[in-house]
Amino acid sequence: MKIEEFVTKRANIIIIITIVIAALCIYPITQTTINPDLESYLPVTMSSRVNSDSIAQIFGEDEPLMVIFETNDVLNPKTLERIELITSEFESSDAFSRVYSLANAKSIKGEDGYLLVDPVIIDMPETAEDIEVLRGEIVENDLVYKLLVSEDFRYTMILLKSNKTMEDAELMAFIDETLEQYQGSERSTVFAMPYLRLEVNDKIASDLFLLLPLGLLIMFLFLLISFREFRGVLLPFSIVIISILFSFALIPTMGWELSIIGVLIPIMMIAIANNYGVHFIIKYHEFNTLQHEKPVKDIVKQTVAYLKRPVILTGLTTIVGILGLTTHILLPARQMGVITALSIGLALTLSLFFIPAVLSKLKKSKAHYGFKPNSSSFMIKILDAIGRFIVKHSKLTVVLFAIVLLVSAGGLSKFRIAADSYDVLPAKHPFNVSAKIADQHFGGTKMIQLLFKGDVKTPEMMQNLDFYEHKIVENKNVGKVTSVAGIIRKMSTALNDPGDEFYDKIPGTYEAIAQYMELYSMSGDPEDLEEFIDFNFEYTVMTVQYHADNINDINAVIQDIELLVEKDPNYMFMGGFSLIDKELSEAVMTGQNYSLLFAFVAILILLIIIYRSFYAGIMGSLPLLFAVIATFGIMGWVGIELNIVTALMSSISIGLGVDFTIHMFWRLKTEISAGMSYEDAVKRSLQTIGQGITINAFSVMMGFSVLFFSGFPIIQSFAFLIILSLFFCLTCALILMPALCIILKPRFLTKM
Amino acid sequence: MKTTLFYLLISGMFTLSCYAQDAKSIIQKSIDAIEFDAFEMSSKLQIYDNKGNVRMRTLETSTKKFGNTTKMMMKFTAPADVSGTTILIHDYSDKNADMWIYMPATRKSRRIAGRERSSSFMGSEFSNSNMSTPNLDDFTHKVVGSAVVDGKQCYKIESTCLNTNVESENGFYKQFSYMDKQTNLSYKVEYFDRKGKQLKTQTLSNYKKQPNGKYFCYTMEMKNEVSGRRSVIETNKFQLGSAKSENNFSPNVLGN
Repeated sequence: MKIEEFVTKRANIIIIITIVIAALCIYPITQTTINPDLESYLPVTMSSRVNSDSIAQIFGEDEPLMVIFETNDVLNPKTLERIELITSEFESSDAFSRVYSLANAKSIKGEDGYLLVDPVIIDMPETAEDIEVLRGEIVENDLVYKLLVSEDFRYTMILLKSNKTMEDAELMAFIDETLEQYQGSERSTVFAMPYLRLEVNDKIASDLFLLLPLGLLIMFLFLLISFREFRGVLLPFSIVIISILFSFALIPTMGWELSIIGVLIPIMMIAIANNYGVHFIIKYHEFNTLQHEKPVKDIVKQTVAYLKRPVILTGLTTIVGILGLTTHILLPARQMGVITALSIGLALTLSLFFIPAVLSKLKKSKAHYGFKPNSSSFMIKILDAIGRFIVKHSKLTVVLFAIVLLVSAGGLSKFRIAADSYDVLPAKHPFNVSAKIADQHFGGTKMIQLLFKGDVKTPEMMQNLDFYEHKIVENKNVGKVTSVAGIIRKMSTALNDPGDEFYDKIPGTYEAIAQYMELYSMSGDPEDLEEFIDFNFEYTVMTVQYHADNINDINAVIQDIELLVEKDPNYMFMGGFSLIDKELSEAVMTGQNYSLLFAFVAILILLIIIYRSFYAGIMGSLPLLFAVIATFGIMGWVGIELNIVTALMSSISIGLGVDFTIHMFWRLKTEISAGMSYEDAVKRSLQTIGQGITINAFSVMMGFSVLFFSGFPIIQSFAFLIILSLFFCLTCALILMPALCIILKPRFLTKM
Repeated sequence: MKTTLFYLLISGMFTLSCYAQDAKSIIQKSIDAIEFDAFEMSSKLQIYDNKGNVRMRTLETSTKKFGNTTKMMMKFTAPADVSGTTILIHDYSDKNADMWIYMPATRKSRRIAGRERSSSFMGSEFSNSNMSTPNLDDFTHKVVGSAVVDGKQCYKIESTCLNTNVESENGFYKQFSYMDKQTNLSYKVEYFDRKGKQLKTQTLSNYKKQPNGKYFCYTMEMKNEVSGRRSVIETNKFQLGSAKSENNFSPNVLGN
């Protein structure tokens, strides 16, 4: 039985099954959980993650946090007292394995034959003179200066290490409450991954609560304005609602969690799921207006018979484009690919069956003359003008497009990949404000750890570490390098007097190094040394703290380090969160390339199959190529970086954008194979399907425009880029493609 | 009814006052029970991390009292890389102890400032202050109850630092000591910070009575309740008295 027969004969069953599917989705949705931790989505086999985990197993999995205070002079007694009280509060908490601040920092020095291991602040400074003495001591103390206190003394920080025993929300609430409990005039900000995760978590939820109703409202109004009747609104709208329910139900059903990328899923459904329904409504009205005397079932059958092929084909190309995301290295991108592809598949199926089934049950609509091809509506007038221009100036049209492409592509040289995931939050968000302070006034927010294996007490190994410390810090982006070598050198200045042969040197014997270490471990907390050397003295770690504006800065630091250590037999590998972040950024780029390539090739093959012509495949791919190059170029011009979200844009947009070309080719083919000239076919197609394509494209763009209201700047950028990219696809389908057809007169359009 | 309440209140206050008076003398008796004028011993220090890995050091210790000053010399004998490292402590009754360290690899001795009493003893969970006799007047003491520890009926005595200087020198705010009611020997000490968080627990066992009637503790363990690390000092040889002269405990002879 043909689809058009089936939908009119089994309308009741189709409607019931649709309602049951919607109802079945409700329960799984209540089980949805949010996971804001991007790192947790990375494959466990990623080298940076494997290395970082190996280092964490030896040296602990503690997570660093910075609480930064800003005031005119951090050495004023009130600030110091506040730091002391807050430090004490943090120290008494079980959440932190280490609390390090001006209140408990130590100075190691030799003085008058004494080895002095004293707190930096022995007594609170009371006079201006006391403050200046303390300032001088801090400047001399490289365990504190530029590490806990900024060079200009405007900033100081409490460095915490969370032992991950508290949930992010509980931990951040405790820090906030402590800062609130001990109030002061200093401005305080927190730089911490738990803070980032918590903020992302909250924003995912608030985004969904805002964007989903807003998106639905905008789509509802758009459909209402377009069709000016409730069935034209409610039928595509119901498909959108059911597809959203289905997509959300799939997440927990597949055993997945909602990530930041998940925010895009319902909006994509709003933007895409109504497409097929919109085409049905438009065509239904077209037939209804032209053949108003026919019974409703016949009009419905005629509509299904006409649209089933192009709708299935455009649906398939969209699904294939989005399935490109399943080749992505990042799990949330793969999940999004699967979920949206299945949900679009459902929307397509419901558009083919449910909408006609309901239409066949309803009273026939009034004739809508706005849908007639020779209508004098505003949109038709514009499309008609475009058609006339293309016919008259087809070559000029192509040249104009080539100029736009060249100008846009110039921006590719400025195209950048994000260095980290900080830009998930707005630049003015306290998290990013604190990151900026840490980058500008302290060692930096990024960290690389180098793992060495071997007996660190041997002078050769210790001297190598000392050498690396001094060389690595020469890179302009590196703020601080710490290892046991720095401590041993510091001990040598405390145990020997200036001018002594051992002063400010790594000792030359195994025993001397062992004894320095023994003394250091007696001088404070025995675990201090184990920040750098494992308990059994088998491994040692060097920590490089730095800042980076983009992935090139990170690569430069890594390259410098690798050049230094590559021949060292004790060097094993490097790890650390910034490397994971870097690999995440690279995965974003690689993932995008794979998805794009997959989507492009798959769509090319589909076009070749649909039109049984290689030429059709190439021509149909041109708008996509144009849109991708121009969009990436504009990203470079306006400074939008490629990140975890913007990288998803291209395969989604080409999956959607190819639909416009398919519909255009379909109509051109119908008209040309019926004997019309290429020029007339272009004009006719723009007057007829041009309207459907335009409404369809603007409804999709309108759907995505809701994302401008997202709390995540990267999602706002995504909205801009996908709308831009769809606009390019639309103009290519409506203007460039017809112009090329007039010039090239492809033969595949002549055969039906 | 009023009479009964009044009686209970008075008797309660009396009991508390007795406890307050008794606490310091109990601690003093406990110190007296284990205090020796001179001894020499060999011991083994084992430091365990929270994964069960162990580091071992062996030490030779000599202690002798000269007037009001107890002088102690500790010399590492193993492992080989720190063998010969020597620590000298002069523990005064009326002021902070003096401490020197000698490192044979550099042939240098260095005096360590007294403020570091709270620092780790030999990289273990014991602190330097655990190794010397406390100044009882630096704390307020009270008996807060009784408890059975290691099968012995013990007083539970709370000792609180008098001020923040004492607190920072010792590395804790309050301690609860459990002392055998019969022998006055201490079997357990729990250390807390100002917020009531337990920092460490020390357990003492294997006391042996010496010829002079006093007791020596052969096994001491200190557990860090925060990090899960623990350290154990086991004495395998104990000899009452020492033939060393005061000159042997001078910083000048370190390394000789």
